[in-house]
This record gives sequence, C-alpha cells and structure tokens, in this order.
Amino acid sequence: MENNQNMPPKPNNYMVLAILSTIFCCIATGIASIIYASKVNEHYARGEYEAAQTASKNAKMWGLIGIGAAALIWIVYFVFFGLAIFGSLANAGNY
Amino acid sequence: MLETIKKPIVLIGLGVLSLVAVLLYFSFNPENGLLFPKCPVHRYMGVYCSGCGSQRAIHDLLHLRIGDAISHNMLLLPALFVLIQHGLVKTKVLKSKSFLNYRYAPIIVLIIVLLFMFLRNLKMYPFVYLAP
Repeated sequence: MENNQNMPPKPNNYMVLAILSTIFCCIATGIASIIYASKVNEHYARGEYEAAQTASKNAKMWGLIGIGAAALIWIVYFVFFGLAIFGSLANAGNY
Repeated sequence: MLETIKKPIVLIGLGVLSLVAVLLYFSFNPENGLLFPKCPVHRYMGVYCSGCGSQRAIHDLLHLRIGDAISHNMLLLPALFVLIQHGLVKTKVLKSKSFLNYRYAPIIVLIIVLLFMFLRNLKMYPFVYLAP
C-alpha cells in the first residue's frame, strides 16, 4: 500500500485542452479527453501512479486531436471560403 | 512545471494566433457570414452540441453583449472564467487552487456538458432558450 507522501506529483490531466476541444471542436474528442482526465484523478487518488500516467497520455492525445481537428477545419474552411469572400469584398470595394 | 513556459516560440505563436482570432471574431459576426465554419456536429448530425453557438457568443462578448452571449451559449462564460482562473493560478498571479485541479472537477464538467447538450436539444418550453 503506497501512501500519498511518497507519490510523485499528479500527472497533468489536461483539463484545459479538454475544455477547449469541447468548446471549439468536437464534442466526442472533448468528452473522451474529459473522461481520461477524470481517470487520471481517480487512479492517482487510489495510488495507481502508472495507470494515472497512461490516462494522462490518453487525455493529452484526445485533447490535441480535438484542437488539431478544429484547427484543420478552420484552415481548410478559410482557404476555400475565406479567400473567396475577401476577394469579392476587395472587388466590390464597398465601404 | 509549466511546460509551455519552456517553449517561448509556441507561446508567441499561440499569442499571435489568438490575437488574429480575436480581431476576426470582433470584426465579423459569425451569425450572418460565411467566414466562420459551422459546427460540424450540428451540420452533419443535426443536433446541438455543448459548443454550438460559442463562436457567436465570442463575437457577442467582444462587443460586451453579455445577454446575447449567454443566449447563444450559456456555458462559454463559465468555461472562460474557469480557464482564466486556471491560467492565473498557473502563472502564480492567484495564490488559490485552480478549479480544474479538484479531484472531481473532470466528472462535474462531464456531467454539466452532457446535461447541457441533452437539455438544449429538447424542443420544450423552458429549454428552447438553451438552444444557440
């Protein structure tokens, strides 16, 4: 039985990434990330440091997938539509 | 502890990106433009997710229309509050504990997000106000 005094500090649960990914991208990756974040806390609270670390890695991965997908959607969208819109604005010259 | 501090280039990049984003969201209203991508969940699955309306809410917030921001996405303001508080604790501006560091924070966030998503899709009287 380990006790918390001898434990290394809690691995990051990447809740910030999870929340950002939930707001700006996809509910699925956000929720996956939040679930792994809660696993980090639960494993750590039970003294299972290795399991907490694995959950931390998964939380980070899903958070980053969410942010990455959001960035990708934005860039692709902007390249296709944004340029066309700016082009027409510039041509119309309406101020 | 703060990994991002070790990567100043990433930090500067994120800063520039956020500045550009703030300018874009201030200048253009996502409501009536093609400039911003629509929520993929709503577009392809036909339901509102918990993040739907947050782009409009950001535009409202940047114009200090708090009421409109709340009506477009009720959770954006609390989410920003929690994220900013977390940032202030991490940068040691605030001495208190980050809300996100509590043991049950992820579970509570999960319940709120799922409940909000469920309720805002109900087409019944009090809940229609939660839709974006």
